[in-house]
Amino acid sequence: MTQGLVEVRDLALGYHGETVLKLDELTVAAGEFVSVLGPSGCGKTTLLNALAGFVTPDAGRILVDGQDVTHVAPQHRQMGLVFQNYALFPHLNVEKNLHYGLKARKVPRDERETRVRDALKLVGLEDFRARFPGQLSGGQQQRVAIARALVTRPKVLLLDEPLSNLDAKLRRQMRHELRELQREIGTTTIFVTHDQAEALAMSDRVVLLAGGGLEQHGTPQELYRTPRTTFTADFIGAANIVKATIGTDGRADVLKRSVAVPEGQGLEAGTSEVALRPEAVTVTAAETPGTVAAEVMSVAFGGDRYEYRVRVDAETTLLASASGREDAYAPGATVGLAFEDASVIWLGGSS
Amino acid sequence: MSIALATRAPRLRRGQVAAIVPTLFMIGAFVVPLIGLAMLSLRPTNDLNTPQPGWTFEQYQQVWDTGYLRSSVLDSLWLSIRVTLTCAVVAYPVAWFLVRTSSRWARTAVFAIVLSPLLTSEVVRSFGWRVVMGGQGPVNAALQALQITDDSIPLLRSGWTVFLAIVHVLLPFAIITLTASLGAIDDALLRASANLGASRTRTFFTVVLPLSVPGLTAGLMVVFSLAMGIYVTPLLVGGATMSLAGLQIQNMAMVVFDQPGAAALSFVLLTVTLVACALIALFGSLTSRRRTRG
Amino acid sequence: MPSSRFPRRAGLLATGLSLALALAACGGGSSDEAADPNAPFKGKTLKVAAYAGSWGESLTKAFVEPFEENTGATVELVPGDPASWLTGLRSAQGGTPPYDVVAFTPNVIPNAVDAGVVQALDTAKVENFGELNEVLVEQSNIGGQQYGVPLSVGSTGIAYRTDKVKTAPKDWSDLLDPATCGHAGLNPLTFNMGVEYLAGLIRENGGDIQNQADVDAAFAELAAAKDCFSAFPADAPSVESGLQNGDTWISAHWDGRAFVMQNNGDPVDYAYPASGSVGALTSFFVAENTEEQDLAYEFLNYLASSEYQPTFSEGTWYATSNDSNEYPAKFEEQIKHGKGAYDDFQWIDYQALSPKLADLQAQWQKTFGS
Repeated sequence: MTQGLVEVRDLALGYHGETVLKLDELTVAAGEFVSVLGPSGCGKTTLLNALAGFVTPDAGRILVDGQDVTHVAPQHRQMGLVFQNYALFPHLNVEKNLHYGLKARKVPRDERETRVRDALKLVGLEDFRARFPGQLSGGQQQRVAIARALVTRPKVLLLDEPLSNLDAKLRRQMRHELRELQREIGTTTIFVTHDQAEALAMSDRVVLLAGGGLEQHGTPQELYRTPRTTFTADFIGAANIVKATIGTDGRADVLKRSVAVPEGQGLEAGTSEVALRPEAVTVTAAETPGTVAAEVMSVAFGGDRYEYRVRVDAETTLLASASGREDAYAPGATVGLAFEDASVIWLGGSS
Repeated sequence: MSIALATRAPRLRRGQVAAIVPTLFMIGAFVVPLIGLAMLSLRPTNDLNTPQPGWTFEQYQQVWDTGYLRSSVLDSLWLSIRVTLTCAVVAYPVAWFLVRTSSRWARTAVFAIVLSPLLTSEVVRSFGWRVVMGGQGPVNAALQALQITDDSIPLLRSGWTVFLAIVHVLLPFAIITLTASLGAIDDALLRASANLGASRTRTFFTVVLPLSVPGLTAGLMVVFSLAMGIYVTPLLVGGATMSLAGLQIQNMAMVVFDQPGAAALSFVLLTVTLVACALIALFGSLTSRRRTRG
Repeated sequence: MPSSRFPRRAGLLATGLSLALALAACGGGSSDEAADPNAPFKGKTLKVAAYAGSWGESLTKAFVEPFEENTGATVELVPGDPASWLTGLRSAQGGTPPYDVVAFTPNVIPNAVDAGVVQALDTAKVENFGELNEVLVEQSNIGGQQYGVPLSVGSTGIAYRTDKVKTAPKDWSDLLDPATCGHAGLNPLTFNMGVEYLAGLIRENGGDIQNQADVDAAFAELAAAKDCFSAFPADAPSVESGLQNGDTWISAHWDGRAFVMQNNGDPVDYAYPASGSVGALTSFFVAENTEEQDLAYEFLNYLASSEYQPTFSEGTWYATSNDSNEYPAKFEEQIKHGKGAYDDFQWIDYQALSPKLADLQAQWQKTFGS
């Protein structure tokens, strides 16, 4: 697939003169699945609307396959958009919803029939072609919405939080289906979501937006393992942010324990912050050697693991975990916290 | 007895009473006089049109046989069709603007202008039209200033002036019903349509128009029924020169004092109106049938 | 939902029962108050159907106020027009009428008498009845029986704009004068002024409105001048607004109202047509089945009196029916009045015309309708 390279350059988006999002550079390679992730209000939906042509940028350019589409009208952009509420035409049945975009583009009747049939097959809804949107479940509606966007063979598929209206079980299932579908057709896909688990599970790359700009981007693994900022660490996979005092001897004090500081990250002596994933902090019996003493505040059973909230001292509370196969420590009990040096995520480095 | 019945259906009762009171009112205010009118239309009359005892269909016979009475019904029908279609076409862009504009100020201003015909009495409004279209009125002054005409044109005599005045007073009903229907159309549907490659025109005809059918049919029915019976506006603006069933009924009842004849003509007009409204409703349900089937 | 059907019916039944009970409770009789023998009219109310506006105000000032003061009764004026009062009386037929005394114009009188909603008049019970103008009295005499007491009389003639019409009109056909073509007003036959104009035009031609051949000739004459008419005023206010705003320069009108316009500063004058004006008259009638028979006759006494009538004329600028009336000088000069003044007037025989009116209107409609 050579189609669908999206480039964003020096983009400024806003409403009524107020800038919502500034993005110096973003490139989505042809056939790539990229998630645009961020908390509500970070400008991710505005970015999607700008790509679809519903928002005119205050500055900057949007290019698709090298062609400037910044001022091309929405109906001429060849971007397939799947709306959060699906926006299926309620007065048209499934088949006619799919025909809609093809008719608008004056595709001949025979070809239309074939393409609609193929698209319905792709999403497994061949038997629902005569149903109206009001007669379908949420998951079925969503598949129709995706099929409707894909049947026009867009250069880019834009998904605006398409899973947020589904129940938890269906959402997990749809993550996989969507990803498999995208692999099959190979269309460049930009997926907007506020759910970091969704973004990590589905994407080739994640673009994290915050505070009106780009916070960090990279593969899901990179973002999870090496967040560069406190925000990223916290937003991706809920981290404990802890103070660290870095000494001149290449060691630092983290949770009253001496930890080796990795080299080559540009970390300087002084007070800094580190992140510890809850799953990297293990709750064990009190006074086990090499552990930090803490008090259990609450405990939640999660099947394979327990999740604990513990207090180390008056200022420091942490999330920690333990295997679900043992009995839980009761709230108020004193426990020991263990973590490996390598699991400490160092923030605030210069590289 | 009523206590026993009440305890059997305690939850339904309050809602039923709330529905029964307006129903009884409608029966009292509409059905009962209508029966009286039907009976009056079946009375024979003497030379001075005073109702006499007995029963007869001669009043209906007279409506059918008298050329100017028969044609008044047909002329009312034709005028109502023209008025209804004009209102529908004019109401669409206004209703669309009211629904889509983001300026609250503009919406309030347009809404006030739209509603203004309903806030003034029919008499005052009709005299307003006479001032505007009069011999020394602004329209004639403008025509003379533009040298389109040397002398004032008798605009009030024209059937088009009456037509305009009727459209003016009935337009709000079309706009209000359409606004309700258009406002219910999700903005995302319009963006979806554009995203799928449809032009604005195509979006209007394939999305907006079909989805506004309920409001459109409601508006058409209201405007049509009101236009069929209208008489004050044509009487005051046009001076009773138009052949319209409403004017004929008013004249038969209040000038010639032929109340049985007026009642018969009223029933003919009512029947034609109901049949036409049924056709509009049928059109509406045929075009939006598929949506509501689910 | 079959389960809700039974309770629904039950609710209806319960409501129907309570409604019936409420009606029964209200049905208990109302008792009549005993009359005071010393002041027989004190506390009584007389309902009089009369025009609103300056006509009604003048009626109040001229008759109602002295009447109320002297009798102790109260007069309640019910505004409207003769057609609506006739309709009101007919709807109440057999029961108590909505008005005790009612004003009618000649076009309504035959229908009112035929429908039996007004009483035959006992002329002996009306003081001063002998002083009333004979011609006017005659207009509410149907089949040899007197029904009404005439009050105010107007003449239908020609009103015109003095600033636009160079030569003052003299007769009915001057409405068709080419000099004013495009600015003439013609009243439709749905308005009695229109019938009065048509009758006047036919008489000028030597014909009679009761004769269809003469009517056809007049219609042919009007049809030939069809494009000269700029407005078709269907009521008196429309006639006046047409003259004021310039839609019409010349139009049929009643003398009293035309002179009121002139006296208020409008550039309007009025001509009594040479071939004879057409009379326009308002007379008062006692409603059939009135509960205030004596009070009604007492009110007629005031209406017929030359003591009170001139005040009414001053207010409305219409002449009144008592030949002994004395009017102010300006009124004397502008308005025809008194014994013999109406001898050359044409009075339309509505008893004969009313059955034909609908067809005449249709003929008019066919000629001028749009």
